[in-house]
Parts: sequence; structure tokens; C-alpha cells
Amino acid sequence: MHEMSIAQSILDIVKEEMAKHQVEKLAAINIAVGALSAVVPSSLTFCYNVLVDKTEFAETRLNVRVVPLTYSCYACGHDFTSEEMTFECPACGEADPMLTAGRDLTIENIEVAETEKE
Amino acid sequence: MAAMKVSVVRNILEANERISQQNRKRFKEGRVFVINLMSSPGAGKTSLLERTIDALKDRIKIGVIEGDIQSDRDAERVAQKGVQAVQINTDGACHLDGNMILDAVDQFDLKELDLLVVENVGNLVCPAEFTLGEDAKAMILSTTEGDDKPMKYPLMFQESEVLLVNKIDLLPYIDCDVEKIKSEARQLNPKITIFEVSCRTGEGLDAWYAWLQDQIKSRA
Repeated sequence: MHEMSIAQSILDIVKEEMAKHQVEKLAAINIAVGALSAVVPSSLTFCYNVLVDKTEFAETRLNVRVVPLTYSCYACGHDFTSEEMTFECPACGEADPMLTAGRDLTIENIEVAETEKE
Repeated sequence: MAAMKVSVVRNILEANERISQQNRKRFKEGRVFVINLMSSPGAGKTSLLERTIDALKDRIKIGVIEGDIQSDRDAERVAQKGVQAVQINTDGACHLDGNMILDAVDQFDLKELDLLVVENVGNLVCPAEFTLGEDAKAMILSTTEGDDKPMKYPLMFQESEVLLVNKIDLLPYIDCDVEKIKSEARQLNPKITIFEVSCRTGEGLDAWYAWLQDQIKSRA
């Protein structure tokens, strides 16, 4: 429900990075969204497309990588991903494995658009 | 030629985190305990506030920030109790963010306050994602919402330090298993402190008042 402001935040950060790296045009923005974050990828992409319409980002794709719930077991060290919240290690049965990923809301990188050859 | 990639790795919510850090600093300087109160619409946030103000206002100085999409009804309700209340209208936004709090805080003399309660927009999803610079997050789940909510809205339960299960006076009339709420909330968040209360009858609220006063004492 707050995807519009998230989309705007992405653009704010990306513009800063473009200035820093002296990049003029982007082919893509790659972001990671955790399965547990309160952000709906399709809604975010929709809002992004509305925001960038007729701007210098109109041809810049927003690629959303959904990060699954990822756990690590305190007891046996087993690392695993899960479709839903889980409270037991599937390998050794120990309770309360640690959530190591799935809350992400990160811009990973930006892809520079190739400029036409002269 | 492969497209050139520039590594960024920045938190999308970093602007909010930065502003919340400023809020946190001001709260600390003012030695005020700040609680972010969250729940679905109608779970009893404002009723809990009214009860809490009545019980504690002779002992501690309380301020309130009210977040709502529209209207200043809640700020009026709370101001009638004799405490300073500032209303924020989010004009459609589903949660409060650090910047809205930064503006509202200017209207308080923080050094005069012991407790500042921020009543977030009624919503069990989005407010959990946005820190405000608060000392603690407290959430309310009312029995009429159903005992399946912890697993459906895990982030809110994981982020909250306190869970108040409200409307326990209605338990004889509805199918709600409070033990299930408690055990699933603890699965999601083993450290969560749970109070079973009724803001209508006042049952169970003494434990909540005691918890609040302990927190205030420990930060004063």
C-alpha cells in the first residue's frame, strides 16, 4: 500500500548514484525484495512505471528479485529456504532457526544503458 | 558487450532510517520514553490510550501524536483527557514515517514529557516496516479479529516488543483461542511481552501500566 513512496525512494537513491558514477542513462535497476517485507512486487512495478512515464527513466526496467525466507539452524548449521514462516529445522528438528534473509528491501545494482556508437 | 553494472547495495528505506535516527536523538535528549502503538482499525488503540491517560496522568506527563488518514477525531478524544495531542493526517498514506514525526515533535516540549505515545494509522501491515525512532513498538490484537492473525501478519508480531490482546471481555461470545494467539506470537517473537486486557472493563490493564512505568523509570 506504500509502493508509490517506495518507488520514489528508489528513484531518489538511483539519481544520487548516477551522479556519483557519472552515468547518464540506465538500462535497468535491480532490486531485492524480501518475501517478509510489506512490499508487493507487482504493485511496486506498477507504481514505478507510473512514476517514470515520460521521464529519463521511461526506458529503464525495474527488475525485482524476490528473496525467499532463508534460515540457518543454530544447532546443526543447516541453511535452508522456506515458502512460509517456519520454526523448526528440517534437518535436525531443532526449534527456532534464525531468519538470515527475507526482510530485504535493497537496491543491488544499476545497469548502464549502452550508448549508440558514433 | 555486456551491459556495465554499477554496484549500489543501499537500503531503499535509508532516508526514513536516517530521519528516525534524528528523532531518536531528540527523544533521548528530552529523556522521554516513546512508544509506537500499532493495530488494525478498531482494535482499541485510542481506547487503550484513554484508559492509560486516566490511570497515569497524575503521576507522569504524557503527550500523544495521533496518526490518521483523515480527521482529527482521535486527537480531540485524547485532548479531552487533558493531555497535549497533535494530529497528523497522512492524506491516504497507510503508515506514519519518520519525517511526519520529525515535524510533529516540534510542537512538544520534550523535556516536559515522560511518555510520548504515537498512535499509528490503523493497519496491521505497513507500519511495521517503518521505524519512527521510537523506544518500543507495541501492538494490539483484539479477540474479535480472530486467533489466526499472528501467522497471517508475521512482520508486525516480530517487530513488536509488546502485544496487548484486547477485548477479552467478549471471549464468552466468540470463537477465539487466546492461547493460540499467545503461542503463535511467541513462536514469531520469543521475547514478546503479552498482556490480556479489556479496555472496556479495565481488566488486565494494571500490568500494562506497571510495564510502562518500569520502562519510563529505566530511561529517566
